[in-house]
Parts: sequence; C-alpha cells; structure tokens
Amino acid sequence: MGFDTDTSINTSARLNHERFPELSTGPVPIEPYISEEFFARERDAIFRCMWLLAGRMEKIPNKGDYFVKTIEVLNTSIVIVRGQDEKVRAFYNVCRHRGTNIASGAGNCKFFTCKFHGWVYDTQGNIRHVADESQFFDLDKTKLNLHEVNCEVWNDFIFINVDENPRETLAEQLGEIGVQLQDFPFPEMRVAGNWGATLNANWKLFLDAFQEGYHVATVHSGTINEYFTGARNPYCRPSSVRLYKRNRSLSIPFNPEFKIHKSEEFAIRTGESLSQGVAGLTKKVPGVNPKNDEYFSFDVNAIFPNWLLDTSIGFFFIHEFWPIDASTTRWESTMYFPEPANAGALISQNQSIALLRDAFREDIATSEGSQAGIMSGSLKEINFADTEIPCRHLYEVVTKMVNGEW
Amino acid sequence: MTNNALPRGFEDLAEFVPDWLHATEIERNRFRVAQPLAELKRFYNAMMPRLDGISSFLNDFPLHAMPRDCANLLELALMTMEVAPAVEYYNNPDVPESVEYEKFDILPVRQKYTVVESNPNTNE
Repeated sequence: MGFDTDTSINTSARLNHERFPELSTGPVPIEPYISEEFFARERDAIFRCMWLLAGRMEKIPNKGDYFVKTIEVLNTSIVIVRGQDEKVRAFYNVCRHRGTNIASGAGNCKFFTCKFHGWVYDTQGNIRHVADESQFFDLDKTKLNLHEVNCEVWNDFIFINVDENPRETLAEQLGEIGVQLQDFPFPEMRVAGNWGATLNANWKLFLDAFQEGYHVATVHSGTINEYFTGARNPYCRPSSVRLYKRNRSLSIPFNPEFKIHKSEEFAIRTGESLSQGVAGLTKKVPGVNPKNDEYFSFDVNAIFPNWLLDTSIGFFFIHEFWPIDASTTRWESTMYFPEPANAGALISQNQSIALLRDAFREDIATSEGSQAGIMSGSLKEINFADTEIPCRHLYEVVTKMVNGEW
Repeated sequence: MTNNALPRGFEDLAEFVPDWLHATEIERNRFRVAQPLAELKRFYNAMMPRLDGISSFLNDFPLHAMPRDCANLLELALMTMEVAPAVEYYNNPDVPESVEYEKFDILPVRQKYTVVESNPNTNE
C-alpha cells in the first residue's frame, strides 16, 4: 500500500514507522560509518558475497569487446568480455603465470596477451599459448585457463559475484525491484552523461545523500529545490516508500506550482526532460511510479549493496558507490536517455544533463563535511527522521549482515 | 565554406562562432564557468528565441552525417542548454554551494552526432 500523497506530506504522524514497525527509531551509532574494522567485516560479509554491478552491455556490443572493472573493496580487477561465442563472461584480470594483469581499460580483441611473458588466452578464457613452454615443469594446462568469476546479465546490466557459490541468484538479489522494473525500456537507453568523484566519505553516508528528500530544500536551494519543494511539500517528503529485505524504493513528487523555465519548456516540447511535470504524467512507462502517486517525478530504487537505479518517464540515472576504505568512496553517476532520433531530441536531453549534473555537484558537497564531523569525536550517534527511513534501513541491513545474518 | 559557417538563415548568430562552439560536455561546462554572467545572458537571450527554429531546421539532417555548418549550429544549441541553468536558476556562471570544481569529474561519453566535412571542390 502506498501513502495517500496529500496525507503523507502534511501529516505529523510518522507513517513510515507505522508501516515498518520492525525498524528501530532510536539514534544510530556512528561506528559503521567510520570504523575500518567494521569496513573489513562489510567487505567479507557483503561485497565478497553479493552480485555487484559491473557495467552495461552497451560497453561490449561486439564479439571480443571487453572492459576492465577495478573493484578496490575486493582488491581486484575483473575483465568482462563478450566472447567470440557471444557469451558474456567475467575473469579475474590475472595471468595464471605470475599474476600480471592481462588487460587494461577497454577494447576489442581476439586474444588477451600478458605483457610480462606473452602468455595468451582466448576471449572464452582458455589458455592458448605458453611461451617457451618446454622450460616449465609438468605444467597442467587444464588449470591455467583464466579464473572465471560468476557473471549474470539483467536488462543489459552486467553483474559479477566473486563468491564461488553465490548464496542468492541475481534475480533473488534484485527481488521486488527487479520484478517491478523488468519491462522498463532499459535496453533502448544509452549513456548520455557520466560523472564521478572520489571523496572522503563512507560509502553508506555518501549513498544516504541520494535516498531521502529531506536535504532538497537546503542543499539544492541554489538550483532545483523549487522543482520539488513548495507550499504543498516544503520538505520534499517522498510520496511513497517501499522497504524490502535489503533493497528499498521511494517515489519523489514534484512541486505542481513550479514554474518551468524557458529551456525546460523547449525540452518538454522537443524531447525528454527532467522536469516534464504534469505533461509527463500522461506518458506511461512500465515499472515507474508503482503506487501511481500524484505529481510523480522519479523513483529512487536502492539495490543492495551499493547502487541506486533511479527511474523516471523517458530516462533513468544510476549512482554507484564504490568503497575504497571506511572513509573514502568513489561515486559514479550515469544518466541514460534513448538514443536521440534527431537534433531536437539531442538538444532537449542536454537541458536535463546540465541541470542534473549541477544538482549532483550540490548533492555531494555535504558528504565530506559530514564525514569529517562524525570522525571528529563530537557526534556519537545519528538521529534519522521518519522521512529518512531509507538511511536507517541501509544501516540496519548492513549491521545484520556483518553480524552474520543473511 | 569555412569551418565557421552557419546555415543560411542563422547568419546573425555568427558572432558566437567559433568561441561558443564546443563538442563535448566537459568543454562546454569549462567554457561556461569561465564566462562572465553578462556574457552568458547575452548568449542565452540571443539563442533561446531561436531554439525551436534551429531544432526544426536541424531535424532534416541525420545526426550520423551532419554537415559542418549544421554541426556548428547544433553546438550553439547544445551550449545554450549548458548555459541555461546558470541563467535561469543560479544567476551565476557556476553552481553555487557545490563540491569543488576540481573534485568533480565530467567523464567522456560517446558523441551522439558525426560531422561530415564536405568536399571544398564540390560545395562552392
């Protein structure tokens, strides 16, 4: 059941707590956001066990296309390659001789050749050539194929899992959100904007900045706050919230009194736009706005552990939060639009790209300050409001998992 | 035809060529934040009323084979979208109260249009 929109944004009742009474309401300790010891437990209990987003099929459309995904939290580098047989596979980027990486960046090849001593592997991971092989002792070449990593694809998103025997399938991990978004037109969408930053902030603290609307009125006071806030919803409360086992989702409404600017009027007339407002509500896109909320703008779909798949009408964007250590995170965000059919569509897409990118520069501005604050020793705990329940949910899920609950 | 040409009917925008022509988002953004606000407003005010006309004119050319003069016009329109939030929202070239410019990476994406340079011998 979704909230009645007008009730949820005007009431003083803590509706999320009423709907999810199993979640705590008290202050949350800061240890999970600053402790290297806690971070090591997250690495083992979460990142070594779960399906992690590695990229999109758009990166490897042809046989032999590959890209390298470095995953700092796992101290590893993975090669994802579309084999000559068209199958997409993932391998540790590690030569079976002395461990040198066999690929870097992205490209197309028929064979991977190690730069150290010239061992050769095909795109299906098979060892194909050992230079001066007679000088080795009893080499068992059946054990020298590239070390394969579990790899699955959902709706053009490529995932890897370094657990030899994953406890859940990818479909199980995507859960209700995967079902809901099964028919969203992801395969039609292409990268339109791509941004990143490496900041001194814990990955959960960083992610939390993107899974509540409470910050909008202040953080975005110079940009898009009035698109979301106004007399009707001054604190940008979500119009509906869904908490699942580990994933969570919320719908963000726009401000119906927002007066759109000229560039947005043009973009709405000509193609897709972030601020489609009422005009956008007449378009139906499978999987978005699951509770049919009034004045729907976009859905935040937080897919455990470390990414957000935010869907809207005619576009989507993702945020990835890749931990480096307890207080350093690489954030990358990518915006996707349909391949523009003509110049008008391309121009209109660039209206949203510029505005959203600038809003993200605001979103990430507070993260380092928050991290420094909680590391100062001054703050001992965090109080999350009911409207910040997605942050509390992430904290509780992570805490359970590092304590061995699955 | 020079590389700075604009299609017939859009010659009045020539004063913005080539300075305001940039092919990528990062170049457009760097250019925007380096301009005085008054210059951004002058460009925005010149371009915004023309966008519908520019758009319908360019829609007759496939994005995968844009003649240079059309690509110039397209890049002026793309720059208009880059400039728009500075004029419409921030009243400032850069977004205020945001993470430091040098900490934020604008990463390259595939160009969505391709320019075909016309043969100078046949295009006079």
